[in-house]
Amino acid sequence: MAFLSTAFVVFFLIVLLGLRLAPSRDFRRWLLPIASAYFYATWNPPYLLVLAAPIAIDYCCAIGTEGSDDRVVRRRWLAAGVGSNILLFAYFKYANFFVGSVAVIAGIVPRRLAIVLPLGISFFTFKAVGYLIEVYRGELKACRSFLDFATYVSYFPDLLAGPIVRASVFLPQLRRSLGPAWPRTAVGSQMILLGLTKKLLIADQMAIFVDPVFADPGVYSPLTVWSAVIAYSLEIYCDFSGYSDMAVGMSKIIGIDLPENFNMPYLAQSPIEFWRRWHMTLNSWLRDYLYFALPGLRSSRWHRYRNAAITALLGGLWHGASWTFVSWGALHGLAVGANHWWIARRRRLRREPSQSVTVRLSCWLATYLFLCATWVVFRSPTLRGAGIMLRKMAGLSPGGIEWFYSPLPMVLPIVIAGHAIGIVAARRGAVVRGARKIPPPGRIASIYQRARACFAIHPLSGVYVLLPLPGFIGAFLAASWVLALLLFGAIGSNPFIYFQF
Amino acid sequence: MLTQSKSYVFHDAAPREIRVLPSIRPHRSHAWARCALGILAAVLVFELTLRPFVAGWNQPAGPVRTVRSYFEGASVAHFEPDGVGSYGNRLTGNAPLADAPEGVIVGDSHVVAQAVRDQETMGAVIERLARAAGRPLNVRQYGWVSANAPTYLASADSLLRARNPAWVAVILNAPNISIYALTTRQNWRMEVAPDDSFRLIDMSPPQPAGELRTMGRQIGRSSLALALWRRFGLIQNRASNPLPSEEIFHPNEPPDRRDPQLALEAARVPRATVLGLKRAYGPRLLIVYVPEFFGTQYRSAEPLEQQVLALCVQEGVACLSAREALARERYEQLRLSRGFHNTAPGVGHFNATGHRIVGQEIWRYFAGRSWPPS
Repeated sequence: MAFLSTAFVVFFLIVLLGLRLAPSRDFRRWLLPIASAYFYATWNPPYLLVLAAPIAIDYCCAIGTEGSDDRVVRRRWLAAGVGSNILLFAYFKYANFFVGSVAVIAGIVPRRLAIVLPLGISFFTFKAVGYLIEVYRGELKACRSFLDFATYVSYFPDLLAGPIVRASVFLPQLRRSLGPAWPRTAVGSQMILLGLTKKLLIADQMAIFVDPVFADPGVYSPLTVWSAVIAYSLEIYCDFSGYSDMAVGMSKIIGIDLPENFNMPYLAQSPIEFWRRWHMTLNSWLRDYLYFALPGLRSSRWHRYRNAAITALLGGLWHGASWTFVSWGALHGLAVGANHWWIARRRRLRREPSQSVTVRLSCWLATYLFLCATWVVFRSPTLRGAGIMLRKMAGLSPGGIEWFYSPLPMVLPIVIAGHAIGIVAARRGAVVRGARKIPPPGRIASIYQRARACFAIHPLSGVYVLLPLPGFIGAFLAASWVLALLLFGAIGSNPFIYFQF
Repeated sequence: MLTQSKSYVFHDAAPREIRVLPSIRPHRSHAWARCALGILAAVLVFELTLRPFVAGWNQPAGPVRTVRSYFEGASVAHFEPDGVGSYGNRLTGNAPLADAPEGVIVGDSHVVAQAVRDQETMGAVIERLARAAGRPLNVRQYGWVSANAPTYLASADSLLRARNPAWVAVILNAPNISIYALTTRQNWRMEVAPDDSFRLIDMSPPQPAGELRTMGRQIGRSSLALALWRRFGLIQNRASNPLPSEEIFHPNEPPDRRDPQLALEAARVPRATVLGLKRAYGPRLLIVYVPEFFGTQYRSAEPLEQQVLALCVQEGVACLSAREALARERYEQLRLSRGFHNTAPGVGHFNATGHRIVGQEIWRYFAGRSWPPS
């Protein structure tokens, strides 16, 4: 059941109706795991077992881990839980890659195993493993309610492509009164609309141009290839963050807050900063459970660079079992390692980071160009295809078909405006009691004041204007937004890119 | 100024409290009236903004119908409504010459050519070439959206009666003579008997009754309504037909995907079409085969093309294929003959390049011949 389908809309409305009309709290507690199981089963019913197995195993392993004071016994429980998750994950995700690579090395024709990758396996594995490690480290008490734990692992809004929510954030929220309520629904609906806009108006529009150029880059001119690469950088960001916005919005309507996943990643001025802004829940997961767990972190700075590089490499491999993803991860690993080395060197020389606009712009441009080059490796079907594209981009292979794709320059101002609003919001914010009061940002404030709107500015993803539906301008903006989506969104939607991971 | 108490930022993933603010409570007095006005204002703004880009599909016919569209490029096309074709005779942008012989081009949406300007249509190209060569000529272009060969056969009589042309060029492509000719629910479809005789079936929907028709026309005056109607049509079309056309008509398509009986009947469509066109248009006929090139690959073989060319030789029908010329433009000039600035490269209807090449090919054929043929 795809998010962008009538079936899903009906399903989601039924879930909300169930939560709203539920006679008791127990009923609501049962409703979410049942709905999630149904949601997953609509894709492939037998694979429900693949989802159920880690739930059962990890539930027991966590209780076993917590139940013993013996460090060795605790480790064994942890190893059993994590090992079973990794085995299941590795079998489905990497078996063909492994068999194929061995066959190539051995010089025989590889035989593809008939394995269907279960949807969302990466994401529920991450959640389950993170939970086990949190319990092992004593940061979280093992969940005694199997129902709550099953809800956590299988929660349908984030099941297929994140955000990867920590158990320590998710589980306490199940004690809340779940179900749609007006202010949450208003914010959640707008986040869903924002996600839809990113997906239909930008990502899917860009895909129309990106797909054919990446499929056969050799026939296009360098300028066309550059346009396609920039379009892809927008596509992947808006596709993934659009999905995240929708997941967060839906969850907010249900009554559960999910963490944000993106913070304007293309504003990054270094590879390290990029990873702090891109897929943040995965990045923090990798940092907490992999980077810190690798040996030698405190022994020398070279070990730190090495660990950063290994973490990025494994992050790349996680995206998929292919050499393009491995290369993408390796490139990012090298860049992150080099970035750490550079920062340490400047620190040793007691040099402050430059505040010059020219330097910062150069850093931003260099980072964006690096990201574009690595997206080429990420998106290309083969390394050879990536090589052809990179040669075109470097001007080493001139000539080819020129194709001007007008939606690209049309969406760029929208993206730039969104980032500008995000920057203003981030600068104006000041934390007060769990929320930030925003000093009125000049002219914009008076527009909003007239609109009788109130701000709900999220520091991580820009501004969400709480459209005051009873007001004239609120209704005008909402109606314009929906009409723009209907008139200018892509015809027919592609599956979300991160579903395949 | 906006008061600070109305502005919030949530700063972490921990449970957040959202305060219900007075301005978003839905039960204020006159609130829903203001809301309705806001929606109406948005509709009005879109209506006015879309006017230069969307018009003409459903407007009452005047002397000239203007069709504007932004789905492929952003174009303005003019038609002279005369009861034939989807919107009538597609104008060429050239002033018609008095007493000059007429050539007629017949085809599907490629000939309707909504996405190119009048002067870029293949008819306009032929007119210019003919007049430059000292042979006065007016070209009339009649296209039907989503039409196939049966529509060209069914319209032959009315076309010949109305225009009495010196020549008729029928633009054929693979979908026109494929299974779609048997199964289409628009315009005309055909049934082909084993002996290649055929029966034409009118699939035009019944005209709506008086009030409905008036209402439809009134709605048709709205650019926003037209744009939404067209968008939903495209979305519906995409949903019911998820495969790209090149896969539907690809010669390697597994036969088990089709109804075997229908597949047998579909195999008879090209022959029935060539014979039928020959009978309908007589010696004035030229069949112009335009291959279904998609994207940037212009080398794929089309068995239907070979079949049509062979049938034409066998039946003594004038026929040409634009394949070589289109491929030459693609590989030598690096220009694609399909697609527009807001479509995927090479995907969509003929663009100005495609029209120019097809027009040149038609003219090349007629340039050395007398009209009408003896």
